[in-house]
Amino acid sequence: MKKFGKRLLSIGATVAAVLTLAACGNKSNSSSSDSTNFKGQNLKIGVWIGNDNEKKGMNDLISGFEKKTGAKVTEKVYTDFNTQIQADLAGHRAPDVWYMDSSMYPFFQKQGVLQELNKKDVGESNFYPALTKAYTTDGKLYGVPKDTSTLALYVNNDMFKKVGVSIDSIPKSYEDLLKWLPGFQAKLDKAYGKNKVKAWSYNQDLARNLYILERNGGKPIKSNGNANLSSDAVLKNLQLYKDLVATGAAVTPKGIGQGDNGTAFGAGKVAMMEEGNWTYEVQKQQYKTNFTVLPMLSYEGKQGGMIFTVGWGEYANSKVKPLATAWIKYVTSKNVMKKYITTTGTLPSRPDVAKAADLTSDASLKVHLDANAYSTVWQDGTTLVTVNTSYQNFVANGLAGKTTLKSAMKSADDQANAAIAKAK
Amino acid sequence: MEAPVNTPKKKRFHLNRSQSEAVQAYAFLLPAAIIVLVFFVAAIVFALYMSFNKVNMYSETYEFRGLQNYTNIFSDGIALTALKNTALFSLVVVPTQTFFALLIAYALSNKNIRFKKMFRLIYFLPTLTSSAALTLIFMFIFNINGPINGFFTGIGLYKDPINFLQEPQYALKVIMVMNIWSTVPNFMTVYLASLVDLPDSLYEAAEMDGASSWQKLVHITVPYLRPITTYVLLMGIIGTFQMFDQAYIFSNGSGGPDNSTLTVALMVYQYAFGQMNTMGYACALAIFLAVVIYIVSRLAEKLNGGNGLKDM
Repeated sequence: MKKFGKRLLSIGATVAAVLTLAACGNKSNSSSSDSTNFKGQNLKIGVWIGNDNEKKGMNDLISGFEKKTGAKVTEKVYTDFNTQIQADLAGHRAPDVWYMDSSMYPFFQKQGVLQELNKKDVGESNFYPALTKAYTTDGKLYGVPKDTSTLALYVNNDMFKKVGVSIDSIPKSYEDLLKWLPGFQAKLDKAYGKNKVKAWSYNQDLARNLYILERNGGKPIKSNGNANLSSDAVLKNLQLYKDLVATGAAVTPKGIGQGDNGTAFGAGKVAMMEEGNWTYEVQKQQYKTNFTVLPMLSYEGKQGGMIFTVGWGEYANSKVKPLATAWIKYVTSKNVMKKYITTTGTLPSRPDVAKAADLTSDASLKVHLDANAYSTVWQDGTTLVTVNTSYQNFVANGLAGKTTLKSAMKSADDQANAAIAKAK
Repeated sequence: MEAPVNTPKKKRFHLNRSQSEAVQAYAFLLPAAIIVLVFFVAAIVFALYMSFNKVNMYSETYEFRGLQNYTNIFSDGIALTALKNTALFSLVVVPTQTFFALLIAYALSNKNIRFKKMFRLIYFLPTLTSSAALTLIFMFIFNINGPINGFFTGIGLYKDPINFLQEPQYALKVIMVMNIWSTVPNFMTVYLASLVDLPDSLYEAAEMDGASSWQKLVHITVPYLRPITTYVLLMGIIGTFQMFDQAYIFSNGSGGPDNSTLTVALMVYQYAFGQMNTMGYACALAIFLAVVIYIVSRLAEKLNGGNGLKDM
C-alpha cells in the first residue's frame, strides 16, 4: 500500500474533523431518560460477523429486539475491529453497545469508554464465573459475555487406525506426551512416508501458550504491564515447547505451509491438534474429517487450556443507555441465547443454556464445555497484545535452538517494554 | 421588437476572456483543492501537531512533549532496525525495478517485434492485481510445500525444502521479489509511453554508423529517457519506503520473524493502532519517514543527473 502514509494522514484528518463535530454535539447532550418505552429510539450496535450462521443469528437478535421494544437497531459490522473501533471511539462515534474480545477488554476499560453495568440487573450470577470475571475490574462489571470458546485436543481417528495405535493410549499429560510422540511419529512416517504427516501441531502464540507459561507462578507480564518473558519461571515453562519441537513430531501449521491448525488437521497433515470449538463444525462439514475430541492435557500436574470469550460492552457516552442495557439483557437472556447458539454453533456463556440446549449430551461439545472449568481466560492486562506481538516475533528462533530461549525472550521483552514505556 | 431588455444588466457581469477563463480554472480546481486541503494539508498539520505531543485519542488529552517523540526514534533500536530493513528494501528494489522496466520497454518498443500488443498486455497484468492478493499468491508460491521449493529440490539445488516465509534471512527477500515483479510493468508502461516519441531518425543514424542494439540502448535510449528515469526512481523510492501491506500480510502484522519484515510504515501502524496510547510517537515516525524519503529522493535525483524533473 504505497498510499499508506496518505491514508494514515487522512485518518488523522477525519479524526480531527470528527473531534470538532463531536465536541459541538456533546453540548446538546440531553441526559437520557429512564423510561422503558423505547419506541422511536435508535440503538447502534458494533459487531463482527464471522460466517453466514452468525449473520443469521444476529438478524434474529435484531428483529426479536425491535419487535419487543419498538426501538430501531442499526448494525455496524466491523471488518478490522481493533483498528476501526479505536477510530470510532476517538471520534466519539462509537456504537452504543459493541463486541469486546476478552483480551481487548482491559484496554477499553482503562480508556474509560465503558459504562459500568448493574450486576443484579444483568443477572451476573447466571453466567460461568470465569467469564464474568473477565469483564470485571475492581469489583465492577463492565461487560456481559455473549459466548465462549475453549480448546480441546482433536485426534484424527483414521490415522490412528491406520498406524494401529489406540486413541486410548494417548498420554494425558505433556510430560508423558514428550516420551510418547517420537514412537508415534515413527509409525506415521512408516505408514505415510517420512514427514508427510506430523503427529502434533502447536502454535507460537501467547493466545495458546499463556496457560502453560503461567504454571508454577510464571508471570509472562508483570503487574505493571511490562513484559517478563525472560524470567526464570516463564522460561522453565517455555522449555516444554522446546522439548516438544525437539521430539521432531511437533510442528507449527506455518512450518508445514498451512494457514492454521484447522487447515493442517483437515488437510490430513497432522494427526493431533489443540483447537477451539469453532473448528468442530468445519471439520465435520467442510473437511469431513473422522475425529475424536479429547480433553486438554495436563502439565505439571494440572490440566489447562485457554478460554476465548466475547462480551457485550456498553458505551459510556451512549445517549440511550437504558436501551443499550435492555439490549444486553435481551441478547444474553436464557431463551434468546439458546436460539443464538443453536444457530451459530457457538458455546453459551451460561450453564443453564448449555443444559437447556442439551449440549452436554454431545460428547465432543461436552469436552469443550467442561474445559471452562480448568482453562485460563485469554486476558492479561492492557499490554497483552503488545507483548504477544514481540513474543511471536522472537519465539521461533528460541524454540528452534538458533538462540537460547533466554536470549530470544530477552529480545522480546526489550522490544515490548520499549513500546510500553512510550505509552507511559 | 424583441430588444434584449437585460443587456445592460448582463454587461455588468461581463468578464473579458482571460478573466472568465481564470474563473473557470478556479472552479475546476476547487473540488481537488478542497480535498487536498482537508485530507492532506489539514491532516499533515494535525499529524505534525500530534508528533510533539503525547496523545490519548479517547480522552482527547494532548500533553506537550517537545521533541521527545523524535529523540525517542534515535534511541529506539527497533525503529533503527525498521529503517535499516526499509532502506535495504529500497536499495535492492528501486534499481532492479528501474533496470528491468527500462529493458523490457526497450525490447517492446522494437519495431520488428511481433505480437507486441499481446506482450504488453501480459507484462502489464501483474499491475492489475491487488497487492494483498499478490502477497497471498507469493506466500503460496514460496510456501515450504510450494512450487519454488518443489522446483529447486527437483533440480537438486538443495535437499530439504526451505521455509522462505518463516526464516528471517529469506522473508524480506521474498517480499523484494514480489515487489519488483509487481511494479516493473507499471514503470515499463511509463517508459514505453515516452519511447513512442523517440524519433526513429536517431536510431537510423546510429545504425548507419554500425551501432549494436546494446549501444543504441546505452547511448540513445537511456539518455533520452533520463527525465522519465528520474520520475521512475522517485516513485520507486516513495513506494518502497512506504511499503506496508505486503509486510503486514506476510508477518500477520508483527514484522517478524525476528523483525526481519518490520518496515517503518508497519511500525507506524503498530504504534498508531496498537493497544497503546502512542499516536504521538506514530506521527513522529511518519514525519521522520517523510523527511527520509525527501532526502533520499533528492539524492537519487542528483545522482541521476540532468535537471531532474524540470526536464519533463
